[in-house]
Amino acid sequence: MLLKIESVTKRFGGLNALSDVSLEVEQGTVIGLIGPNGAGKTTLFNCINGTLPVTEGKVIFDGIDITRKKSYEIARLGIARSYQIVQPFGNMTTLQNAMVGGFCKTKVYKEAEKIALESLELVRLDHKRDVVAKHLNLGERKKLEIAKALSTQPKLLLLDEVMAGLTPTEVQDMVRIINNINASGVTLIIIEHIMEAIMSLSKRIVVLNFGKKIMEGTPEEVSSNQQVIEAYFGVEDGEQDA
Amino acid sequence: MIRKLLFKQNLVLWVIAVGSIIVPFFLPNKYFQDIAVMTFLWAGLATSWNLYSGYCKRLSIGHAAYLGIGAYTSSLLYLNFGISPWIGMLAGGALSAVAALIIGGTTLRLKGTFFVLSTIAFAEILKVITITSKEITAGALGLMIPFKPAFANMIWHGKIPYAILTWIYMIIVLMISVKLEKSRLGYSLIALGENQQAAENLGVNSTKSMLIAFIMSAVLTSFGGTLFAQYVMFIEPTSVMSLTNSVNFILLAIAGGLGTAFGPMIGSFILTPVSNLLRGYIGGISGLHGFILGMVLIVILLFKPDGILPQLKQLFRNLFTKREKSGKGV
Amino acid sequence: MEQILQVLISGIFSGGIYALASVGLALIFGVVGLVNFAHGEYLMLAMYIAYWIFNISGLDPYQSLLINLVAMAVIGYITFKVIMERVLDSDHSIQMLLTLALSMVLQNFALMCWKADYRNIRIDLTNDTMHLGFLTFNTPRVLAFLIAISASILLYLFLQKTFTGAAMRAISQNGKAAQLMGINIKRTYCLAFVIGTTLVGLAGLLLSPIYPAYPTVGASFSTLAFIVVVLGGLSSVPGAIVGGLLIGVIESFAGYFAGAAYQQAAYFLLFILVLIFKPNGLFGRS
Repeated sequence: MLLKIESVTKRFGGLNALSDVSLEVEQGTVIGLIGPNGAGKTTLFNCINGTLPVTEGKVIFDGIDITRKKSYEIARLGIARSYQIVQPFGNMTTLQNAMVGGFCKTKVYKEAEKIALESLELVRLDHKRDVVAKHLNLGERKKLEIAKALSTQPKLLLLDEVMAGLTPTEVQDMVRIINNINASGVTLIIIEHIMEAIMSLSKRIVVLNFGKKIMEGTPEEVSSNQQVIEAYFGVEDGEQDA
Repeated sequence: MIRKLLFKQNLVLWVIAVGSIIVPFFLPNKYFQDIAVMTFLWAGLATSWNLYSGYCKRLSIGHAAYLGIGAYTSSLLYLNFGISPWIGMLAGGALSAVAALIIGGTTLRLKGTFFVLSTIAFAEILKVITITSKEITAGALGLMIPFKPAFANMIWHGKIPYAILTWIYMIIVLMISVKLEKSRLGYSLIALGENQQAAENLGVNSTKSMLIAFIMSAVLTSFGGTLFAQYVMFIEPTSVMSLTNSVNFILLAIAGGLGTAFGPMIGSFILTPVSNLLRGYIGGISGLHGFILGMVLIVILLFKPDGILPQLKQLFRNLFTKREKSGKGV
Repeated sequence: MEQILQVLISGIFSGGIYALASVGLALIFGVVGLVNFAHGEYLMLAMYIAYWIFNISGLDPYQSLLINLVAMAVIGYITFKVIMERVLDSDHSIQMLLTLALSMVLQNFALMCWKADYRNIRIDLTNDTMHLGFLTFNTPRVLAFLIAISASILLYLFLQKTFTGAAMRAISQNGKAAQLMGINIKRTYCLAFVIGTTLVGLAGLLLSPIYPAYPTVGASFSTLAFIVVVLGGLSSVPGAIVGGLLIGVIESFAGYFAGAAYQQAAYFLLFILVLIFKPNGLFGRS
């Protein structure tokens, strides 16, 4: 089991952003994480990779308890993530951006460069390698975000709404890229609102609502589940809670 | 293609840096040679400052403290124990490293604003300590280094040897800076300067990176402090550890290009001679010199906060791309 | 015992001025988000204005108070419009550098115009003393304290009780939300800045009967104001008032026990300790 999230609770003052969430992620799989806005999906990512401290519970990665570890330590152990609101290192070139990730596992310039280039090729951004990052458009920035994370040579990649704001063509492109990443051996957890994409990519889907895990199952099971439908669309007038 | 352009760009800058050694030999008299010495010295100092503050964009406005540690350590060792300033320089560097470790260890993790304020506070405290420890440092009276020319004493006749020494200092710091830009540490610094959280997510240990760079910066500045003391032969707290000096580091680096290896050098090559010549012409009117420098800094900050290096690089690109075959795309 | 009390109250009196000099900085930082290193220079300018008015027209600082304050408000307004407005969105380091450069410019400007000589205003009141029980105090100092504290408290009341004041507090807590509620940010920033510089100018004016004016007099007050403000919590006006009084007292005792040279060192040390252990100050928010 690559990642084990054990009863994680995250409290902000009086508010429970996450309540007793548990999850097991196998090596090599793709897990889709869905739920309405504010359900706690990004918070879960933040708790996994050390951006936010966990209030209760444990996160165990590759047999190591990473609950109290700092972000950079976790990155070095093999978890990388992309952010919803992409923020490239604006004044560095695309290649340099990816190289920051490349330096995660090596001290040698040439190696970092090679790894970065491979990541850029995987996301098909290598032709823009010398463009200063702040001049990239949104789709390119999203790809760069992934390339940066990939360059750290992670075992587990957390993708947070990488398709938001993309055109349908770009979305298809992204689906291809994500499949390729998974094919190369990287385990993925993906947060996404574009249902077709996430249903086709994921082997299993986890649904969060109000900080709780309300369901976990195959894409078919989840999309036909009453509770999930209610979470997204609300309860119709006249119907009772299931 | 851009790679080759960048390479050529750096080549030109290196040519300027290395070629500048011949300038002092062609200068007519000691007045101008003195300006050359100061230009090289400040180029080295500003580049040292830039190693930390420029790359990760956290401005230390108290670097004069390390200038002071270097100047005072080597001078005191020389005057009291006859130890050669060459050794004293290393001792000063060691002391600065310790100071930077302590100060950095406690203040680097503070948010930007607080960090900057703490750097100023440290410089002021150091100044006060230097003034009040009269028995050791002669306080406000200052220290005078007697003129005994000898290589071991780092004292020579005339200005040319000093020009060579400070030029070597500048070149060494430049080489370190260029090497840093192509290293893991350099990439870590620039990344965390842009977005610390994103950098940490990619495995950058920001605390460690900042501390190492900060110490390097302090030590190299300290070496410059020794050179300074040996050149002017008289040091006292308020002129060495002054806010004016601390600001000068920043002024030169920003004017040339913050966070670039050659920016501070260019800044010094332009501003140091101009500033000195200006002082020569209008020195009579007290305050005018500082007034103009302040205005220059304001104008730079308001209208050209990236310094002139980007401009020069653009100019360079224009010159070269016109000659390249079209159709390749930039 | 008498001595201690004298030292204490003397410290409180100085502290009142420090408080006045610092509340403006806290206001500017809190509302405008601007770190203003040239803060003390407005104190210096006010002192020179008081001096020249006195020299030319014979009006003492208390009589020329209104003219002086208006002049300071105008200067503050011009500074804001010409320089500060442009860097409101820039990195704090750039702002600090810019205001540092501005302070260089203002100090040297004073040096050019009026030379480095100390300019003293000597009026009848200057050497007057008054007695509180068995304690003796310099009258202008007492006056300065009273006016300074009143002004500081007035500012606090303004912030708490008026709409504009509430707007300022709102902006200081959450600029974007305040904007969404229809508060005119630009105008409020300007007002906050002008009030801030006028107040520190008032501090200068109050000092002028007892303290000489010279080009760099503002610099030490800038530093002091920063320390006070960090101590009290960067954007807190009540924090600045308490911080100012505290620093006044500490300085007074440090001078009494360790000698004048260590006064500065004492509060710098305090400054670094606060930065390290309680960077949000005694009253501040993160």
